[in-house]
Amino acid sequence: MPRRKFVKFAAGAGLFQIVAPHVLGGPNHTPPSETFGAALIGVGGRGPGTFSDLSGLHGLAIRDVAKCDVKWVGSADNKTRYTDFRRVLERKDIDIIAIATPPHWHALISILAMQAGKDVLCEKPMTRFVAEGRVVAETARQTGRIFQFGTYGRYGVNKEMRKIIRAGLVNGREVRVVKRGDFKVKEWSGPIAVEPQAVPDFLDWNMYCGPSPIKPYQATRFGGMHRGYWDYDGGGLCDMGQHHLDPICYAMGKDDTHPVEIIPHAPPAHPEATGMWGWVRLKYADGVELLIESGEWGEASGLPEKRISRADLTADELKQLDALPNETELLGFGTAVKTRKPSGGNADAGHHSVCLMHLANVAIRTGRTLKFDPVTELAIGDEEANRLINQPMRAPWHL
Amino acid sequence: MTPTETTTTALLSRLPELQEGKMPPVEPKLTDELVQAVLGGGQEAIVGLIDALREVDNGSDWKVRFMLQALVIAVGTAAQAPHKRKLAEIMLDEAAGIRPAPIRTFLLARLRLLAGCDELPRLIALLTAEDPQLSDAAATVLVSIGTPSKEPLAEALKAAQGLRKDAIQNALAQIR
Repeated sequence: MPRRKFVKFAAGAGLFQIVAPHVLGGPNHTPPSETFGAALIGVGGRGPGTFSDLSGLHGLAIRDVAKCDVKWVGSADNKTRYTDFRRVLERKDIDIIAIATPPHWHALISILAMQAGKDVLCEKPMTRFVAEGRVVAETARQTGRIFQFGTYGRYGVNKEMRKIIRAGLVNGREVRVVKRGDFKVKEWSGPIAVEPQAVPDFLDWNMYCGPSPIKPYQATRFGGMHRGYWDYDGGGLCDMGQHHLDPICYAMGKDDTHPVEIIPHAPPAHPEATGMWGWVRLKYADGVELLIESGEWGEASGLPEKRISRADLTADELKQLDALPNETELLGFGTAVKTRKPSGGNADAGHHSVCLMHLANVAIRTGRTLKFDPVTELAIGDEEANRLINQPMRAPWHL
Repeated sequence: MTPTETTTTALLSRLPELQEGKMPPVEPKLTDELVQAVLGGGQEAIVGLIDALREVDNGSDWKVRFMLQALVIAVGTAAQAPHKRKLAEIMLDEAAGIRPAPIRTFLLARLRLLAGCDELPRLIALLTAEDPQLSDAAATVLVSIGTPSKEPLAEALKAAQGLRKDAIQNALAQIR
C-alpha cells in the first residue's frame, strides 16, 4: 500500500493519534526524512541571501543548524556560531553547506565539504584561479555530492544556438557573442592608498587570509572591497562575470570546453589590486568567439555580435540538426539534492564558465595574447601565465 | 640624491598620480618605454627601483611596485628573455639580503613568476627565514617552480621543525 494511503487509513483508524503530525508529514509539515540540515559559511553581505535561497529559490526544507564567519572571534559558541568552518564540516547533522565567503575560499571549502559528505551551494565566482575548478569538479564526481554554483541565468536560456554549435554546424561562419558593460570594473578596482591597521579584535585575520598570502590588515581587504585584490578575487570581472558569462557560455554550448586564444586590450596591471580593462576576445577552436567589453577603458573593439540561428543554416544542416535529440532540462539544486542527479549548475559546467573570467584576467595581467590548451588546462608557451593559472596556497591549505 | 635616485625619480614621475586612492590606467606604450629604460640601465637601474620600495605598503610607493611588476611581466616574453635570468638573479639577491622583511616578501612574490632552477638553492635557504611571511613566500616560489623543487624540499624537510616543517610539507603536497 502506498505510504500516503496507509497514513490516511491508519489515521482514520485512530492508529497514529499519539504521533505528532510533523513526524508523519501531515498537512503543512515536511517529514524529517525530507528535511536537510544546513549551514552557512560566510555570513557577510551576500551570505543570508544565499542561505535563504536553499528554502526559497531551491524549495528545500531545511533546518538552520549552524553559521560560520571569521568575524565572530569572541562571540562564537561552537554550537550554532563558529569561526572555523572545519568544525562545521565535522557535524553529522549537516547535509548541505552554503558558501558565501570571499572567492579565495570557495574552492577549498567546496572540496572539503563534499569530502565530508555534504552537498554544496557555492556563491559565484566558483573559484579564484583556473586550477581550483578542475579539483572541485573532480571532487564532485568522485564523491557523488551535489554541487551548484550560485547564479542561475543558464536556466532560462534559449537553446537554439547551443544545439547548432554543439552539432558542429558553425561550418566556418563568423559567430561572435558580445557582452558589453555591467562589469563594475572601476567600482571594484582595488584601492591601494590604504594604511595598514591593527587587526580588529573580532576578526580571525589568519583564517580570513587562509590560502592567500597573509598581508598586513587593511580595511579594504575585508568586507566587499575584497573584490579589488588579486589575493581574494578578480575585480568586477570575476564578481559580475559568472552572472553574465555562464548563461552565455551555456547558450554557446561551451560549458564543457575552454577557449584556445584569449586576446586582451587593457592597461598593465598592478601586482596587488585589480584595475581597468577594455575588452577581451576569447576564441574557441571552432572559431566561435566570446567578446567581453567593459566600456570603461580604452577604445571600443568595434566588433559586432553575430549569433547563429536556424535561419542561417542550409537545408542539409537543418536536417542534421533536427535529427539530433534535444537535451534534457537542467535540474535545479533542490531537485538535484532530492534525486541525486547532477544539478544544472554543476561544478564541471561552473568551472568552464568561471574560467572565462580567469583566463581573461591572466591575459590582462600578462598583457599579451594567451594560447590555451583546453584539455591540459595550461597556457601554451607562457610559463608566467601558467603560474597565474595555477597558484600556490599558504600552509596548511592546498588543493 | 644619487644619480641613480635622480634617474629613478625622473622615470617614476612620468607615471600618472593615483585617482581616488586607486591606480590610474597607465598607457601600455608608456609602460613599455619605462620598462625598456630600466632594463637598459641594467642592474643599477633595477636596484635603484628596489631601493625606492617602502616597508609599509600604503600606496606611497605604488609606482615602484607597478614598475617592478611591469619588468617581471615584460621579461616573460620571448623578446625580453635575455633579461629574465638577470632580473630573477637581482630580485633574489635583494630578497635574500638585508632589506626589511616586507620588501623581501614583495620581491619574492614578484619572483614567483620568474624563478627557475638557478634560484633553487637560495630559495631553500630562505625557508628558514625568521619571518614566517618570508619563509611562506619562499615556499610559494618553490611550488611555482614545480618538480625541480621536490628533491631540495624533501631534503630541507629532514631538518625542519614547527611552522617551517608545515610550510615545506604543504609545498610538497602542491607539486604534482
